[in-house]
Amino acid sequence: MMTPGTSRRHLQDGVADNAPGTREKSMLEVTDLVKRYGGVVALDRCSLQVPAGHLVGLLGPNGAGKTTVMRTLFGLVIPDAGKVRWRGRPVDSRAWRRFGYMPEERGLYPAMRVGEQIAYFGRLSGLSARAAAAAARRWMDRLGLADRAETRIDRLSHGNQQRVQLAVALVHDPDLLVLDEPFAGLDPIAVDALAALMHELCQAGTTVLFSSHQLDLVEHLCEDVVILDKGHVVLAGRLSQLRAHAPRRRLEVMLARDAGQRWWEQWSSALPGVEVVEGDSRRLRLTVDRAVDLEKVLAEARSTADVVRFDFEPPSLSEIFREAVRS
Amino acid sequence: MSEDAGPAQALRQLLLVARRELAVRVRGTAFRVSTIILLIVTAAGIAIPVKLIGGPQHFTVAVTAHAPPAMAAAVRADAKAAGLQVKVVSAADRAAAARLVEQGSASAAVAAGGEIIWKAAPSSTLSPVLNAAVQQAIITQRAARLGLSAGATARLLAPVRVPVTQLHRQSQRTARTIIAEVGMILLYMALAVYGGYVLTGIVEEKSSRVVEVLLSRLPPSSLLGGKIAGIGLAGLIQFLAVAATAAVTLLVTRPSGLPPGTYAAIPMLVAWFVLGFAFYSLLYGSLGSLASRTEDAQAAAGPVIAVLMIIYLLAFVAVANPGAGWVTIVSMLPPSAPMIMPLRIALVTVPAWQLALAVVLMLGGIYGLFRAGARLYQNAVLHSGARLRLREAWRGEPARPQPAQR
Repeated sequence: MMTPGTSRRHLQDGVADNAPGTREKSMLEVTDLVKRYGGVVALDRCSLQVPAGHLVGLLGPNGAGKTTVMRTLFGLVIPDAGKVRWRGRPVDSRAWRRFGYMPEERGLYPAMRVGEQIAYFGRLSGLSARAAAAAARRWMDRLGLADRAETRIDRLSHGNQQRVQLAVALVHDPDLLVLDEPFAGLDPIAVDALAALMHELCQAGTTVLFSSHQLDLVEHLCEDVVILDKGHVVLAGRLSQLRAHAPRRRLEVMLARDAGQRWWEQWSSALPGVEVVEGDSRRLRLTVDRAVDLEKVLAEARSTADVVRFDFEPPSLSEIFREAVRS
Repeated sequence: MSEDAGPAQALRQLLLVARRELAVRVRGTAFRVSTIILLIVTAAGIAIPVKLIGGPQHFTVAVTAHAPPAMAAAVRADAKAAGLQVKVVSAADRAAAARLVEQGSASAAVAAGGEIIWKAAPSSTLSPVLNAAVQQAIITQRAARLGLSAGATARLLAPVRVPVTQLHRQSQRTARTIIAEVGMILLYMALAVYGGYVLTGIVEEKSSRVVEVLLSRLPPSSLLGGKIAGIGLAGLIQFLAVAATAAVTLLVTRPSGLPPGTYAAIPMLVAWFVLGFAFYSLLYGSLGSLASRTEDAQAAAGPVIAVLMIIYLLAFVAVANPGAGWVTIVSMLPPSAPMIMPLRIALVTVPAWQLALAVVLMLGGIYGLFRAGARLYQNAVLHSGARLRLREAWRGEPARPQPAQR
C-alpha cells in the first residue's frame, strides 16, 4: 500500500490513514522529488512509498514522469531536490546492489552470448563468478532459455531478448525489482507468463514497482497503484480502497419496457451529481457522485417505468485513472 | 553517486568491466588479424631495409691456386676490418672457381693476376673488400720484387689513421631520426586506433541502450575507467608485441650503424603510449558520450582528432630542429608530451627534470580529465536523440528533456 505524498485530493476520507503501508513498514520511500530540465519540470514534489513485498503499478499518461522517477531510484537521474530512501536509509551503491532494473529502453550487448551476459550482470551486482554462473543457469531454465546459453543476443528473437533482459534484472535476486513498461511488446502468452512471475516474486518477498499503460492488466495483477501526472502523484493507494472511495461510481439502469427516446432527460437534469454516459430506449449508463442519494435516482427511474436492473459498481481502474488525470 | 559509498565495490566493478573489454577485444578476429599484420609489417619494415642497404653480411669467396700469394689471408684480414664474415675456400683453377660462383656456392672468386669473378653485378659490400685485398696482395708482390723485406712491406702497408673532425656532430642523425619518426608514427597510430576503439565502444553501449542497465549497477566512473583500462590493455598487448618484434628483428639482423639508444627507446615508447592512451582515450570517451549514434561519434570526437593531427604535424617539424625552445616546451605539456617527448629523447639529451615534469603534468592531466570525463559521461550518457552540446552536458541540463515516456 502506498500513500500519496503531496496530493491527496481524492483521498480526504482516509485511504492513506487506513493503509497498512505506513512510514515504518515502507521499504522504498520517495520524498518530494523535484527535477527540472531547463524550463521543463519533469518531477514536481513527487512522493510515493512502496512497502516491502508489495507489487505496485506506477501509472500515468505519457510524459508524467514515470521513467524519471524510476531512474532517480538508481541514481541515473540526480534530482534537484528530494530524497530516495531504502529501508530508512538514503540509497547508495550498497542499496543498488540489491535492486534490479529493466529500463523502458531495453539494452543488452548484441554480440555477447546469453549465458555469459546474464552472468556478467550478476557479477557487476556483486555475485562471485560461480554464483553468477549458477544464477544465470537457473534463470535461463526458469525463463525457457536453457538451450540458448551459447547464442549471441543479436541472433535471438525479440521475445527471447525480452526474457534475457528480465533475467539480467533478476540474476542477483534483487530485493527491489523495478520494471519500466515490462509488458510493452509482449504477446498475450508472454504477458501471462510475466504477470505470473511477478506475482510469484512478490509472494517470495520481492518488492516490485512497475509501470504500464495496460490498465486492465494492472487492475488484474496488482493491489496497489500510484498515478502520476505532470510529475506529481495525483492518486495512490490500495486499488480496492481507491475504488471504494472513488468520488464517482458507475450505475446501470434497465427498464422493463421501452420508454422512448431520451426518457431520462427530465429527471437526470433534476439530480445534481448525476451524469449520463450513454443510453437507449430501455438501458441507461450513468456516473454518479458519491454524495448522491441512490434512493432518489431509483425513485426517478421508477417514475418512468418498472426497473428490472439497478447495478451499482465501483469504477474500473481506467475510469479512476481518467478521472485522476483529467483534472 | 556511489563512489563514496563503496570504493572497493566501485574498483571491483571497474576491474570486471576492464576484463570484459579486454576479452572482447582480444577474442575478436579484428584484433588477431591486425596484430599479425602489424607484426609482419614491423619485422619486414626493419629487415627488408637492412637487407637492401646492408646486403648479406656472410660471404664465401673462392681463391684459386694461381691467385697472388697470401690472397686468402688478405681477404680475411680486410673482411674482418670491414665487419664482414667471409669464408675463404680454395679452388683448383679458374674454371672450378667460376663454377662455384655460377652455382652460388661462392659470392665471388679471385683468380690469377687478381682477377675478380662475379656472377653478375658486384656486391656493393663485398666488392670494396676484395678490391682492397687484391690491391694489397699485388702491391706486396711488387714490393718483394723491388727487394723490400716482408717486415718493411708490412710497415709500408700498415693502415693509416686519418684524423677526422666533425664540426657538427651529425654522424648518427639519420639513423636516429628514422627511429624517432618510426616511433612517432607508431605512437600516433596506436593513440588514434585505440582511442577510436574507446569512442566506438562508448557510443555502441549508448546506442544499444545497455548503458542504462549498466549504470543502474555501477558508477559511471567505474564504467568509463574500466572500459579505458580494458581497451588500453588490449592496445598495450599489441603495442608490446610490436615492440618485442622490432627488438628481436633488430637483434637478428644486426644492422650496422644503429645508434646506441635504440633499444632503450623501445620501453620509453611503451611508457609514453600508456600515458598518451590514458589521456586521449578519456578525451575520446567523454566527447564520444555526447553522441547517440555511431554516425555522430566521429563528429563528436572531431576536436580530439584535430588536436592529435596538429601534434603529429608539430612532431614532424620538431624532428628537423629538436633543440628548439618551443619543442622543449611542448614536449612537457600534456596534450603534446606523449609524442614530442619520446622524439626529443631519441634525438637530443633531455634533462631529467624536464622528463619528470612532463610525466607529472601528464598524470595531473589524466586525473583532471578522469574527473571531468566522468561528469560529462554521467550527464550525457542517458541522453538520446540529437548530439549534446558540451556545455549542456557539463551542466547536466539538456535543452530538451530526455524522452522520459513513450
